[in-house]
Amino acid sequence: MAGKKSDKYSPNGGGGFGTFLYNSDTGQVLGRTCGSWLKITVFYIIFYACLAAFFYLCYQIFATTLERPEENGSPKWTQDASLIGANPGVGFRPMPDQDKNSESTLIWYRTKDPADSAFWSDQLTDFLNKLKVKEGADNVVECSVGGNSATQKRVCKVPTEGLGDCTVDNSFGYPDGKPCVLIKLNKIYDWEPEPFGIDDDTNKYDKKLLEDELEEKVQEQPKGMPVSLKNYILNEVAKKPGNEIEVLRSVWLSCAGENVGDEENLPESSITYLPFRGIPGYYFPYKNQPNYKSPFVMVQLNVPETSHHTLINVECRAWAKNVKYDRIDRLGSVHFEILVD
Amino acid sequence: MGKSKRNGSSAKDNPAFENDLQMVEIHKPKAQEKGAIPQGFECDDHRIPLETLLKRYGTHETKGLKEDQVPVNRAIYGRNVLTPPKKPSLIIVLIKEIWGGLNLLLWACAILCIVSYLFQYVISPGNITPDNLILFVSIVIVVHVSGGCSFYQDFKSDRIMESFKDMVPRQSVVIRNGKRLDLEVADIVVGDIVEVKYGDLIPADIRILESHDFKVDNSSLTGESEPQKRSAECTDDNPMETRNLAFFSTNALEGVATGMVIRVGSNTLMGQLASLASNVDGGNSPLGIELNKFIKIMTFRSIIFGLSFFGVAMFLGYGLQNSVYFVIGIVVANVPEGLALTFTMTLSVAATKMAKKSCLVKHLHAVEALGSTSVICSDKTGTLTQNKMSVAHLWFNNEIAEADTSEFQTGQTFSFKDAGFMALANVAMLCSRANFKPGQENVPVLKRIVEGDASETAILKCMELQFGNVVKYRQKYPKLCEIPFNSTNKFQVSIHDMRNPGDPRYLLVMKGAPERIINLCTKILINDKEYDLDDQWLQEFNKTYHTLGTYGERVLGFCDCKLPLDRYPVGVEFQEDDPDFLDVGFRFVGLISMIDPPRAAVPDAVAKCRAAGIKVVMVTGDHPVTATAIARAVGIITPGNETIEEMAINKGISVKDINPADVKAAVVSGAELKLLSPDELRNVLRHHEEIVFARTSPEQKYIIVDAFQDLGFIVASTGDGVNDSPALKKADIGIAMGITGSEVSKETADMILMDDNFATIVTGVEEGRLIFDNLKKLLAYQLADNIAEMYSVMFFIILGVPLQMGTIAMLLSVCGTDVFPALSLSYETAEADIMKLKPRNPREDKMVTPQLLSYCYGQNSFMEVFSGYFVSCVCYMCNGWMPWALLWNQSAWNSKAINDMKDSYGQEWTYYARQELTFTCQTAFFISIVLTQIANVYCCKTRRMSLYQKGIGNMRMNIGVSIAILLACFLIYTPYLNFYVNFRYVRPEMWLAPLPFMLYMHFYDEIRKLIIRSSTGWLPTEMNF
Repeated sequence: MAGKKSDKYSPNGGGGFGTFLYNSDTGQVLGRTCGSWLKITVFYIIFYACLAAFFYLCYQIFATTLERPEENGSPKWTQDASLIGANPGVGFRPMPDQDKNSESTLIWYRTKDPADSAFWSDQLTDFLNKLKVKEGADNVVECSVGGNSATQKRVCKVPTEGLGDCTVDNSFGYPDGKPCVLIKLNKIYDWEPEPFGIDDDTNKYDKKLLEDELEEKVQEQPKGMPVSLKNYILNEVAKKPGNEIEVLRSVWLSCAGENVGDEENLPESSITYLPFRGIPGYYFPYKNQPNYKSPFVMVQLNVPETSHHTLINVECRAWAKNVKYDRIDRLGSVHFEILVD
Repeated sequence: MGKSKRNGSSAKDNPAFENDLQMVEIHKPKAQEKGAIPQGFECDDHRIPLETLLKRYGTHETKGLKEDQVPVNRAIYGRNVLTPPKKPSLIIVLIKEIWGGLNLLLWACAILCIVSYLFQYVISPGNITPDNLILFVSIVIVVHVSGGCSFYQDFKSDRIMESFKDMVPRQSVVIRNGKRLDLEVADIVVGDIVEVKYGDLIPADIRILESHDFKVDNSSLTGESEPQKRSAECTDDNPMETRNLAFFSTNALEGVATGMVIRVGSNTLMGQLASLASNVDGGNSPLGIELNKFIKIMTFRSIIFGLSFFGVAMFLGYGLQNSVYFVIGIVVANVPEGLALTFTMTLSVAATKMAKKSCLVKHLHAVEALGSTSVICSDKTGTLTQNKMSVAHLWFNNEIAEADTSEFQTGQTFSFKDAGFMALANVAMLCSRANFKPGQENVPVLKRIVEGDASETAILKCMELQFGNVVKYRQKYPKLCEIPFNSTNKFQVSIHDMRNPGDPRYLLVMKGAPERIINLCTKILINDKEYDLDDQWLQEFNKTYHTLGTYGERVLGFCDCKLPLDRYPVGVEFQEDDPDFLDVGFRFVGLISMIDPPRAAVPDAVAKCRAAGIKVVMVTGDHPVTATAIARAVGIITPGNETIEEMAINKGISVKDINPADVKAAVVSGAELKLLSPDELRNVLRHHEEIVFARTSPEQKYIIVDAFQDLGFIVASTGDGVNDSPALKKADIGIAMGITGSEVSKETADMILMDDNFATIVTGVEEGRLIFDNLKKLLAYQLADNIAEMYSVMFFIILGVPLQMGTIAMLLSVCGTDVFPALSLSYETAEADIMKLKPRNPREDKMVTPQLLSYCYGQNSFMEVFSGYFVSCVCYMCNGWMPWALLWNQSAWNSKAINDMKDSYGQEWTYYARQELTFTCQTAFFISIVLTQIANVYCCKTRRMSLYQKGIGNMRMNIGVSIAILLACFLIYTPYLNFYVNFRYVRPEMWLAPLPFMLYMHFYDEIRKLIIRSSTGWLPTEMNF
């Protein structure tokens, strides 16, 4: 008796899919006549036009509450209020071809092959070219410790001299097996580094405090500040008496092999920072000023002959009192691999 | 038994029909060879000598079973209960719910998830996101919860059924240990000696030991409506034919008998038939068919969309793993996971509402099917009528007086000073064997239980209402002699001592068949005067008798006479067996006619059905005259309409000369029905608005239901007997009677009327129609969410922007925040008088119409997805990303290698920050979906009316919406939990962003409904889902 409650009111009245596509009796195509299709099309054109117009209207109304990026405005939400946070990441150049593999961070080339080297060095050339000050850019000034620094309107010129071997003429050391990698700090609107060694209460430089704080960083686990960086900082501070605070406002940089093996393959002594082991404080804050250029550090990796044909993991870290580090989420640091064949 | 289509070909060609016929055949053992008795019913208990039989079951002919033998026999032969047919085990039902239908597709997704998780795990164990695992777990949870919920609903309605069964225990008189006991039928065991009398249901299969004029009605078993004599002799080897067996659940019509129980419970003949009849699959209701079709469409669509977007994604270079992930997203977005859940719950909400109105729904889908009913085939007795005789008319003083037949009558109607009435009442009170069962003094008269047959009960109750204490009156005038009613005499006599010292004559009172009574009379009492019964009075009598007959009433005549002292002096002994007083010349005092009156609510209900475009057809085993009278009384035949015969008489022409098209009403008897060919029958059904089938057998009911279905009607059929089961099964909605219905019919039916009342069916229809509307709204509401999600994935793939809605968020909205508002839709009241509309035609009027799909796919989901994208834009813009900075930038956005991606303000974002931003904006998108769905639920609340007309009085909806918002807050703002479902903290002001689109949706919908209400043409047709 399974046939009860008959299937006879099966939907579609028995017409198959073929009839649905084209019904010769009624001239219906896909269940509608041509006239009906026309009407419904007109209806939906009007419907979507209205909806799109409303969307655009809402969008425009909302956009008026924002400062416009092209007019050098500020994002609506900045630093911790925004998802970008107040902890800058670190970027590197040159980068592998994103179109081929978007997940790759491997700088790999053959010293013998000029085209290989050129792929990487050209990127750096481009980067440096973009740093050139445009004609008529009147808000770009030369900055120095104790001298000018960036303000709401004014930005500092990023020097392209003093880069040692890392020059266009030298193809950034790539053909020689001493590749330069450009390291830069992510721009975050209004962010400024917090210097080590400044007494919070008096806002004064305190040598003892600086040494303590740096030592604390050195002792940090699993991987602390390289002792060489600590010494470098103390040395730099000592060089500019009276301007200690200015010097300390820098974001310091250290690069090293990521694991013990990597450190063996790329000893600390083979890494050179040009022109300065950090980004001086006068570049901050970034306020979407016109003509603002990213300051950078060239890190030359003098890969030893013995480490050629070996993949080396390199990690560069930025150091300031308000830069936090997380290896997994790549906070305050950047990771890349280098393989020189 | 495969499902078969019926394409208008003759029903006999159809295998399913033949199967049905076989079902019917089983109940007609006469037409079959002996071997066709149901298996297991082999029996020699009626043939063997009584002594052997008594020994076999350890019992005694007069004393019955000894107490200690009872448990022994119970252990051997079982209790006297019908074991319900075996249901599939609960676990199997549960597994079916969890693995069936759309869930299968979700399982496929879950497996894809876990495979891709394991794949990732094998490739790079250290660097793995738990997303796929969480998604796998969520899908599995969703599948189990929704499967579990529908399982629970089914389980619950089964439980109601079972509790209901226990509500009506019956009692029976049993002799045990030499004592008469009133026992519950279930406690009877084989070997018990039982006493049965007219009006009783036979409590088990019994062999008659002793009988007195004992007759049973085997119609529910064999379809023969003639009462059958039962006595102690074995007349046939076949247990079905022999006279000394009476079967469980048949009715005793006349006389009394003592019998020994030989079979109990499922071993009885009826038990065997019951298990046969109910061992059949229920089939599909119109809604079930649509739902199945819808599921198929959705499945097909998800697979097509999934595969095509897999292709698109691969083409756009997303990579295999990402593409698989998109497919999962598309499928999850396409499958309305929540729908199965809310659908079941909506139906069960309606079922609960109906159960409160005494309409118990066994199969949830029947709720809606009832709403599309276009024909109701109703029984008469008990359903349209009160199922108790009551006095309708009295004839005395040559006038017909009407008695009150309402269900709630109280007090007296006639004057005690009227001598004619008093004489009639005197006879009516004295000449009666009926008695109230003791201990019912405080029970209203109409509700008291009476021992006695139906007519006597009616008269007794009528008199009790008039005079108060009939018992006392009878005690005053003791009964000296009595001749009970039997079918040969057709009268009943009793003689009373009137205790009147002035006139010591005995009073003889007599009632019986009027033609018999009048023949014995010589005088007639009119207004306290006696007249000779001449031809003029006889004519009056015949006229009245005929009039009452046309009312379909059962008429009894009453007469009395004071026995002359010379022939019957005080103290004389009367011979009951050999009455010699029939020639003394009686005085005729009047007629009383009785009818089983219609229930009070029925005429209204029938009128309601008519307004709702539902044909009400009476199918009864009663005499055509009675049937027609009741049909007229309840409005099945409307006052102006005449049957073809009546028309012929009134116009004075022959039946053949009348144009059948002029005739709206028809009364078809079973005998006529037999002669009709299927085509002729269809013609009758098609051409008559008002049809009464009288004197039909249950098998014919099956044929009627089938013929209606062939004409495309959706048929609801009532039934109570075992033999109605095929018709109940055949009908789209089988309705069993809760009080008088047999267990088998209840087992077979889709629905049970707890109060046996026809009016209850109409409430059910109303509820069913409402549910159809509400389910449509539910579809529009829930589909919008799914489709909006699907569009979000499509736009994501095509525009190359960050993902707008994670798969887990989709599940959370469809199966979480949507559920409560969706459920509240089932409490929506009707927009207009739905009982004024024609029943829907399931072939044309579908639940899933092209307009509904157009509305869901083209309109409300689009507004929702636009809102989502707007909110998403707001979220990204506030954080520094202008929309165009995101377009076609997906691979860089999702690249872990890029740690310094530049936004519109020149800020550089790490991969980590970008991911957090993505999750935050996905959360904002989720908020937008939740809020626009809330706007949507208020749009879907009505289909035609403006929200301003309907108001927001549905408090359940307001509460459901509040719950949805709270749930969304809970998911978004609970620490740790939000992390696992990929939600992030969203600033409170972000909740305001979807507001403009909520208003846009609302006003668009108001305009749409305004167009639907106020204009005609293609636009409103296109817009009205």
